[in-house]
Amino acid sequence: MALLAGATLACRADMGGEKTVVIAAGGDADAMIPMVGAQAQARAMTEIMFEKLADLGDSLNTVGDYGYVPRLATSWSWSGDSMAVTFALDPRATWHDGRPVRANDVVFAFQLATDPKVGAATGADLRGVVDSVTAPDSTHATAWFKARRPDQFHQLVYNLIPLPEHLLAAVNRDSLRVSSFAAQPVGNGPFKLAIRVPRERTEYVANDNFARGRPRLDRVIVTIHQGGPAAARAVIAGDADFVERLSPDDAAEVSKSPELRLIPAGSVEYGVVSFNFKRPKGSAPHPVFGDLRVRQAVTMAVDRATLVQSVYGSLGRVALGPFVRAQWSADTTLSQLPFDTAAAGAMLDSAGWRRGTGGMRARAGAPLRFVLAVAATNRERPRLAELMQQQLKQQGVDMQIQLLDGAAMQARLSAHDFDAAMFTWRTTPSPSGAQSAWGTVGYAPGSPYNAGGYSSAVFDANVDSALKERDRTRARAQFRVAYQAAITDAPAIWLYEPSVVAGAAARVSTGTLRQDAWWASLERWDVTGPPRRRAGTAPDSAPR
Amino acid sequence: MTSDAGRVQLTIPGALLAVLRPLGRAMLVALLVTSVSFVGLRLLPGDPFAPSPDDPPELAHARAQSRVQFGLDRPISVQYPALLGALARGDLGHSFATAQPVSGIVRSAITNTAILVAPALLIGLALGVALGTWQGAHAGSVRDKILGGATFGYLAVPEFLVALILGGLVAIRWKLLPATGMVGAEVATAPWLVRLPSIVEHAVLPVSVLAMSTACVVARHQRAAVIAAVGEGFVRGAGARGVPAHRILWVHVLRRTAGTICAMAGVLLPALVGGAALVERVFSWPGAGSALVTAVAARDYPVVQALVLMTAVAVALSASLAEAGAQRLAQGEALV
Repeated sequence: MALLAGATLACRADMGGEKTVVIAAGGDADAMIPMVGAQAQARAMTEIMFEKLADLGDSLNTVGDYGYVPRLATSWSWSGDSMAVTFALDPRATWHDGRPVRANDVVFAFQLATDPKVGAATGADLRGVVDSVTAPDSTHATAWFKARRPDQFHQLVYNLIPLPEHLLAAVNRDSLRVSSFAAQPVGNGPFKLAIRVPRERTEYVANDNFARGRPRLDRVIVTIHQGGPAAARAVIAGDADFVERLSPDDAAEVSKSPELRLIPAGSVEYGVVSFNFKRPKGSAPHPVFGDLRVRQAVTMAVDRATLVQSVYGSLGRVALGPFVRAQWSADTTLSQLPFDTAAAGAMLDSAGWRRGTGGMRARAGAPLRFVLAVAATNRERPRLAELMQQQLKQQGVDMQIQLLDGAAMQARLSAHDFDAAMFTWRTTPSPSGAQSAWGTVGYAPGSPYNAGGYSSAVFDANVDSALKERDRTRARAQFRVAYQAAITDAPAIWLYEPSVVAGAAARVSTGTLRQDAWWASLERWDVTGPPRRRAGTAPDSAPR
Repeated sequence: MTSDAGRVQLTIPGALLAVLRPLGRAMLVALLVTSVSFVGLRLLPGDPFAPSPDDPPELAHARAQSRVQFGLDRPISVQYPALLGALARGDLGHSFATAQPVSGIVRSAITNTAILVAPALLIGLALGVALGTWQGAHAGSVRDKILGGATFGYLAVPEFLVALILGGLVAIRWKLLPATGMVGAEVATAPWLVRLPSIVEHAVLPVSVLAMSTACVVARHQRAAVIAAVGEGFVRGAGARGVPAHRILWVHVLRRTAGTICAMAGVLLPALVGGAALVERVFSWPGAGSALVTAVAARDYPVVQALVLMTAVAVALSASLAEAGAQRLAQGEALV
C-alpha cells in the first residue's frame, strides 16, 4: 500500500497543473482519418486534429462564403466568373511531425477523397461540385468548380480536409482505414493524438506549434461509453467533464448539481413519422397512406405540441417541415396542418373510414390499422409513439408499435418495408439534404432516403431551383414553396426538433457551442474551476 | 501401441488424454459457435453498412464502398469458407466499426472481463462457502432462515437492476466510488502502479454485484451439501474421537464438499460471464460483454464472431479445468 501511495504521489507531482478535460462519448469513431470515417463521431474526433481551409461561422450560412472563418487558409480570392477560388495557406502551418503544410497537401487530399477506392464519406459531394484542385505555388491552392452553385464554397471547405501527402502518398488506398496512419494519424490542428485505445479512449495533447497559438487546454481525453445515456451518466457521476448531448431526464439531473451546468448546443436534426406511399416492399399504393386525405387526417389527429412538450419539455420544439430551424432556408411562417380532431374525423369519414363497434374505424370490413416502426435507439421515441398511439385511438385509428434497433430500422427503411416509421434525420447546415431525403431522386431500391416514396413535382422542381439559385432571397422563396408542398402533401408527420443541450462540469469554460459541431471551439475551451471530484489520482485543475 | 490377436490398439497415456480431451472439446465448441454466430448474425435484420437515416445522405456512398472492401458483397458460400480459413490462420480480421484489428479488441476486452470475473468468482466462492457452511451447521435456526430468505431474495432480483441501484446510490448520489469506466481517464496511461488503485476503485461496484450473486448460489448449494455431510458416519466418528466441532465443520466437512464446489465453479463461470455482460454495460466497463453488445448493435460481424469464439473457448477450457479439479478432489477423497 505504501508503494501504491508513493507511486500515486509521484504521478501527482508529474501531472500537477495540467488542464485536462475528459469528454464522455456515446461511441467511438469508425476511422481516424478525416473524410474516411462514415460516422458523425469520426468527424468530431478527427477534426480535433485536422484543420479545414475555412470553417462555418456561427450563423451556419452555407450560401457563398459569407460568415466563413479562415482556418488553414488565411484568405481566399475568387476568379471573375466565380468558377475558381484560390486559398492562401497560412505559411506558419505545420503538420504535427514538423513538416510545413503545403498546397500539394490540399491537392492530394482532394485526389484521395474523390478516389472511389477510398470510399470517402465526402467524396461524392466533392466530385459533384469540384472539378479539380491545383497548386499554383507551395502556399496557394486553387479549386476549380464544375458549375456555379450557391453552396459551392460550403461543399468544398466542409468536405475537403487537407491531408499530409508525405505520409499518405505511399499508403495503399484500398486499405487506408486499416493503415498505420489511421492508427496514429498526424494532423495539423490545435491538438495532437497522443494515445488511442479503440472503444476505450483517445487522448490528445496540445499542439505547442499550432499556427494560431497554443490551445488553452493541455490534454483532451475522449472516453468511450456504450451509448449516450452511459456517457451522460459519466458526467453526472463526476467521471467526466463534458457530454455533447443529454436526454431530458439527464438534463434535469444535471440541472440539480452545482458542479455541473447545461449548455445549449442547438441541433441540426428533426424527427418524423414517415408514411409509406406504397405497400411494404410492393409497388401498389398503400391501403392506408396511399390516400392524401388519410395522411392529412392522421397528421391532424396528432397533437404534436402536447407530444413534444410531454417528452422533451423545454428541450424540444415541434418540427415545421423537411428542414431545421438552424438552416438558413428555414421558414417559421409556413402554414401547418392544424391539430383538429373534428376535421380529421370528417376527412377519415369522407375517405370511407367510418367508426364501427368499439369506436374503431374500418372500411369495407378492413380496420384502419397500421404498424409504426420505431427506431428505439433512444428513450424518447418509444414514449412519443405510445402517446401518439393513445391520441390516434381516440380517433378510431389502430396504430400498433414495433420497436426496432438501429440496424433493423435501417434495413426496414432500405427495403421500404414499413407502414409508417418514426426516426430522426440528422442533416447538415446546408438545406441540400432535403433533396435526397424527400425528393423523388432519393427514392431508390436499397436506399433509406425518402423511404416512403414521396414524389412531388412541385417539391422537386423548387428544391432543385433553390439549390442552383445564387440569390439567397430568391432561394428562400423557392424553398418556401417546396416546404409548403411537403407540409400539405403530408408524406410525414413533422414531429419534433430536439433542442440539444450538452452537459459540462462547471469548472470547464466552453463558450458558445456551434450548433452542428460542438468541437469547433475546443481550442478556446479552458479549465477555470476546482478539480473534478473523480479526477483519478492526478489533479489536473490548477488554472495556469 | 499394443497388438492383441492381430488388432492394433492405440494407447494414449492418461496425462496426455487429460490434456487432449478438453482441447478437443474446446475445438468442437469453437467450430460450433463460429458456425452458429456466422449464420445467426446474417439472419438478423440489418446490414453493417446500410446507410443510417441518422446520417447525412452523402454517407451512403462510403458505406457501400466499405461493404465491398470487407467482402460482404460476396455470396455466403464464399464468405463462410473464407472465414474458417482466416480463423485457421489466426487472422480474426478487422472491425467493421473502427477498422482496428479484431485480435487487439478481443484481447483487451477479454482481459478486462477477466479482471471482473476472476475476483468475483473467488470472492463469491469464498463468501458462499463460508455462508453455506455456517447455514448448514445451523440448519433450521432463525438466522439460517433469515439468511436463506436473503440469498433467495437477492437471486430473484435481476443483476442489472442491482447494478443500477448500487451505482445510482454509491457512485452517483453519494459519489463514493466511480460510476463508469475501468480506470480514471487522467491516469489511464500512467504507470501500472499508479493505475492499479484506480482500477481497484472502479472494479469495486461491478465485482461486488457479480460476487454477491455467485455467493448466493454457492451458499444455497453448500448449505445442502453440509447438511448431507453432517449426517454421515465420518462426522459422527470424528465427534466420538473428540475432534472439536469447529474443526469437524471447517476441515472435514469442508473437504468433503470441496469437489462439489469445484465442479460448481465450472458451471458458474459461464453464468458469471453472461451476467458480466449486463453489469459491464451498466458501469461502462470495457469488457467482452459490453463490446459484444455494442458490436451486435452495429452488426460488427468480425468482432462478434471473435468475441463469441474466444469467450466460448475460454469458458469451455475453464469448465474442463474445474471438472478435472473436481474429479481429482473426489479421487483424493476416495483414497483418504
